[in-house]
Amino acid sequence: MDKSAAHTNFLKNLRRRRWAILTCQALILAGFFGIWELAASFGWIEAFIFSSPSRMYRMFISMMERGELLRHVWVTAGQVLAGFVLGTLLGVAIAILLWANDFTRRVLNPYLVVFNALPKTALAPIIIVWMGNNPRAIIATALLISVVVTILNVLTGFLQVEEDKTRLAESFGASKAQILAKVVFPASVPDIINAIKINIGLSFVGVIVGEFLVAQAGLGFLIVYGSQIFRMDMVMLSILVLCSLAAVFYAVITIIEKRFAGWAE
Amino acid sequence: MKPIVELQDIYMNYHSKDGEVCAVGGVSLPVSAGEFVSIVGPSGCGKSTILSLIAGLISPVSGSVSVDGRVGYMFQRDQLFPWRTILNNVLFGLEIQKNKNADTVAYAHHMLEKYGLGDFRNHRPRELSGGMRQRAALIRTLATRPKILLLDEPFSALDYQTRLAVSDDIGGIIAAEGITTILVTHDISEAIALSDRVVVLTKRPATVRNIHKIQFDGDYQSPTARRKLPQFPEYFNKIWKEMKDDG
Repeated sequence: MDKSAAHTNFLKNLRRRRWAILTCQALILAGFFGIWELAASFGWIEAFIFSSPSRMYRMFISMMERGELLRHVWVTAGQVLAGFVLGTLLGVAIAILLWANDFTRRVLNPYLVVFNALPKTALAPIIIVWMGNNPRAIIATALLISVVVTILNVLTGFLQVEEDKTRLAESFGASKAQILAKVVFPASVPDIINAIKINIGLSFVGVIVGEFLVAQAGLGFLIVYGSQIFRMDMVMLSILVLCSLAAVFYAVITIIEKRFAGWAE
Repeated sequence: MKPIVELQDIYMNYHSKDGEVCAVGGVSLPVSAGEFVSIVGPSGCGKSTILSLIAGLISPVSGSVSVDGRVGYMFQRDQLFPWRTILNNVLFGLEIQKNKNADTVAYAHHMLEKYGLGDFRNHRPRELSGGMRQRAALIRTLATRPKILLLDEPFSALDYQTRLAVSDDIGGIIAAEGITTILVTHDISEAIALSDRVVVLTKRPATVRNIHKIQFDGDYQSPTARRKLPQFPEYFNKIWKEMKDDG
């Protein structure tokens, strides 16, 4: 089919707009680092305290040469992954139990709401005392932060499934397990993925706080260590790497979302 | 002949904090095999409750429900699952009943072909029009080969044009497959256009006010064709007056 001139024009404008958005995004990033670098080199800011992109780059090269940076990145990435995978699985499992049992759900509801409002990082020191000064305590902190949000989000998703959808399954003689597996769970996949998206952020918070306290390895450790020995280049670099790591995690989730929840768009 | 569905003196109550509501107050209704029966009545009069009772989703407070054969249920909205293709939606009932095998899958394919959805079997529901979706929903029910079909306002979510076309469509499929059907609707003309008998219920608690035998001359005529016949407005006025007197 031939496209009309107006439609071709419309598509061209659409493309142009997308490029304009991407260009502006790139400019903001370049501008931010450019001004930072200039400000440091002209002495408008104290590079020793504020660091600068070129100093961060030198730090990056030297830490990469010593193989130090990647080791810390892997430690943090592994703990974040473990924390949010466990948090998500446990959260979904508990949501299923609460969905299946109305009485338990009502009994536990106020506890969940209060626990959700509590800043879980406040519990990190307790967890370290209980579980020891080790990566397990860090993962437990990350898990604890993400599990409650997962329960609440996924449970809401489960309970929002249209009643007639379950009645339809019942009219075919479906058991409760079948309703869960074939109706309620697939219908809630977008909610579960949303929970995962929130959990990544929360899991990072848990791991970084954990690494601050446990102080053995990881980007959180580098940030604390760097600030204590006044190596702001190390601190800023670690934060930048942390941003990139979060972006990678987010990109992976977006791919998973397209694959499993594409129907919900 | 023994009726395929028989309700005898059914009473049904709902309990809530505000009190007890009597939804159905003594309804008796026999339906014979192959019949198309519509139930009309003022909104909120317990029509859908009667379908839920027949489907066995709920049990009556008193009275007996006897149903001879498997029941298929169709809802107001198609309730096709957006995460499944049309074919997989149609196979849903068979999966639930653990009856998905070469024969039943072939039958599902056959029904999709026969009723013009063959080319859409790998499409997602949202890619289909409202009418096609409702047809797919009917095929999903028919794929499990029910003996009795329960339709709960299956056209009310559609706009008027589509609604006429779809009731021709669905009416034709049901007539061709010869399945006993009970339709609940608040639309009197839809009931007359589709049914052999129209049951008029009173407002809550529902009781049977009257049963009209609908007869048009000649062979099967589509619902739209029936609407044009001279008997049509006579039935309409009679039933409308009954419902109005009640309201």
